[in-house]
Amino acid sequence: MSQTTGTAVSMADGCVALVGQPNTGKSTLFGALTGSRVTVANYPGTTVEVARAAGRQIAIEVIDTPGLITFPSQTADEQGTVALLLRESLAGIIGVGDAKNPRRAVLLAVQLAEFGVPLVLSLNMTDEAEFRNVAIDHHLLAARLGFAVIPTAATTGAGIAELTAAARTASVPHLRLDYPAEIETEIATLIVRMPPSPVDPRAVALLFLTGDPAAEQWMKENLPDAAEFTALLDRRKALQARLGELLSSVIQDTRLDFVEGVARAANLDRRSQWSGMAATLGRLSTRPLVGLPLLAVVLVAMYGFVGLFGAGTLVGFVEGRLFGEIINPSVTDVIERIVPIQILSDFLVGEYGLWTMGMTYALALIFPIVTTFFLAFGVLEDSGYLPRLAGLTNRLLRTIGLNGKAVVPMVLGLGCVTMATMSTRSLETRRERLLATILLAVGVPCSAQLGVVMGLLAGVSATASLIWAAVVVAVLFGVGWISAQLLPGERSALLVELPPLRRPRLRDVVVKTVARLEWYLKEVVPMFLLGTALLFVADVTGLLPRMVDITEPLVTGWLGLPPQTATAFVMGFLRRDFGAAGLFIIAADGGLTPSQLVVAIVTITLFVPCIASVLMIAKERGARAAAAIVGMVFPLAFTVGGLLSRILAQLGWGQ
Amino acid sequence: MTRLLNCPLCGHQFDVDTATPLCAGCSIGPGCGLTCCPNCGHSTIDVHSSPVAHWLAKKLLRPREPTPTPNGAIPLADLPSGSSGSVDRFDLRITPDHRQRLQALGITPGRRIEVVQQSMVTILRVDQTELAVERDVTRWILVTSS
Repeated sequence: MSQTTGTAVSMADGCVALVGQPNTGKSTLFGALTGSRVTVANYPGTTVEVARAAGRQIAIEVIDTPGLITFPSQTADEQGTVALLLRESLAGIIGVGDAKNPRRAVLLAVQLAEFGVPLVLSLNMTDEAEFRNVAIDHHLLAARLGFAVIPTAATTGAGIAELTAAARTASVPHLRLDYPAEIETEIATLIVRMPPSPVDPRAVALLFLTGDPAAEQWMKENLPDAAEFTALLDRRKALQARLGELLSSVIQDTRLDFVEGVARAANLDRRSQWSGMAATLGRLSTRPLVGLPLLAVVLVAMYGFVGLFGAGTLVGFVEGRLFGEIINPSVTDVIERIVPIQILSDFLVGEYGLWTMGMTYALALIFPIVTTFFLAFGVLEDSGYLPRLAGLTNRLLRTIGLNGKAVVPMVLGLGCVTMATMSTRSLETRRERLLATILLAVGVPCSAQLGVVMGLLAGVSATASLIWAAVVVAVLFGVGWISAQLLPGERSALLVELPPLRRPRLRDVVVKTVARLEWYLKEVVPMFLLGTALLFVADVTGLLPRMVDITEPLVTGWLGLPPQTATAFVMGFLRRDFGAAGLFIIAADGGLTPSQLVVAIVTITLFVPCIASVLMIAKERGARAAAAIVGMVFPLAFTVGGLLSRILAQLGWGQ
Repeated sequence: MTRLLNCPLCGHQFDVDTATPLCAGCSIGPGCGLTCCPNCGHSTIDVHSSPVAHWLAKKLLRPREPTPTPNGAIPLADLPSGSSGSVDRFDLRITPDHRQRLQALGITPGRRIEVVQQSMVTILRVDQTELAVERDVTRWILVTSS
């Protein structure tokens, strides 16, 4: 039946994919196999984008895939993995499982074996398994499964040489599960009618029967006409009706039965108990009485590191001293001397100069803040705390139609909204991804903006900070609640694995931070330069004053702000923190009362997200969603700002 | 999904969707929004037939607890924290996505399951796997306590 059986494809000279459940250490194994740093950040439960690198001992190329709990795929990340398996012509698959949980590893490996490409199963994190007295006879297991099973500990490098050797000689597994007769008949039909695939058509047929969205998409694209796809869908529906039970459940039950047999034969179920500091702390961290104070401590520590150290000390040094006193004056001096044309030198080092405005903001103001944020986030991520945070915040997020898992994009949004929008892929339903995207766009301030906002508010009073925070949080929950009521569909319940709490390894955190900063710089610097260039053109052509004139009635009349703040709002279009930074300059000159400052900051915070994140929303959620979100955010920000201005005036605060 | 209703007059439990309508001899005629008990004929209101009432019910009423089954299996949601049981089966009302995910994470019939925490969310442990699961899922996992 299988076309690829017997063909001698060697993993040594092709492309190899690492596939495994979340929290099995795929990315660390990827690092150990390739020796190169992971070029793409790995969010908990998700490798948001696939990482590739040249292999050291095996394979020309190794691909790290997003974690997949089981087939069929459910989250957007899982769909990414399935799409990859169907599109890449793979020389082999390295299944990655958690040695502590061999049953789970076997279930996924059995499904990977159906793909008809050479397979090796790596039982990773044996160090943790040993610590917990979980011992597996991997020879026995390999004999049962018919493909190599190699224990590894990617963090220490143990077993990597054995894994490489096994991968070099791996062949297509002979393991074949027999599904109920009716399903087997349908598989046979499907194999004939399906487009040719790089993997065993049997696997694709099974994916299609289980209703895998990525497999359906692939079929739709590769079948000669839409009618054939509809015909296959109808056949599936008919089979479903005959069986009376969900097809995917019947297929999964067959697999589970097989795994049960393997587990008994290979003696996988040996009970063990473990305890220790990490286990105790892990348990305590989800209890409300300990967990909530602990969360407060974590947040305060993050604020201290990112807000005070990063946005305060580091920015003060880099922007004030390094750029303000040393670099910028000399750059300006040199440019003005070698570029004789006034307009050109203004373009580079003038008021809206590429260097003096764009690069200075990007490197001096934003970069230090983002660096400290990503370091702190990396520590949180590697410690295994984030899924526990999901448990703690689940109830709160329920009110806005999400579940605890959405806390990760929200926290990440405090670093970079653009990146967080991308990470909403880890959420299960389209509805949740859209809800989280809306909230990120409306009111989650990114670290760049947050840094400037904090600096501004600190100059006023603690009350100002409280008013700002209260208004933004209220709008966030208000918008979330309303959107949750309006968007069709039901909320999905929380179901998340809690990996053990681990001490983060400095090397991993630094590597991850560097990878994220690289991405950030590649994304942010061109945007800053583009934004600055647009501002410069607008200024020179007189468009800027005109735009400012147009927005002025809104800004002065409705928001009650001085006319020059209109410039900050126009700049806010180009990048959120541009706007906040513009306010910074006006405030530094003493041009704003406390009340005006709070109104301006609230409006800027709720204002249109930066160009980069609008583009990311369009890419992830579609152009229509992006247009709708932007169209909603604009009036919302000004309505809230105007109302706040009137309320503050009534109260007589900060006039 | 079946919607069970208890007749407030005679206590007879019936399925709203499959119960034979008694509208034939009724002066109001079909489509009135009332449901009649097939046992005694008493007219009662199925709150879930009205979108507004359904929405309110979701907000105000606690979800109906699954009743203990003949072999003594109880929902995992009712197991006190610190106790353990073994997985009996999944209630048919669980979503297939949740069931498949739970199975793939090691929660299959016969496995010993330990409840670590019941407040906020349920935290449970099977073998070396710890999961945080909401009540909307744990009420459909039936366990026999041991």
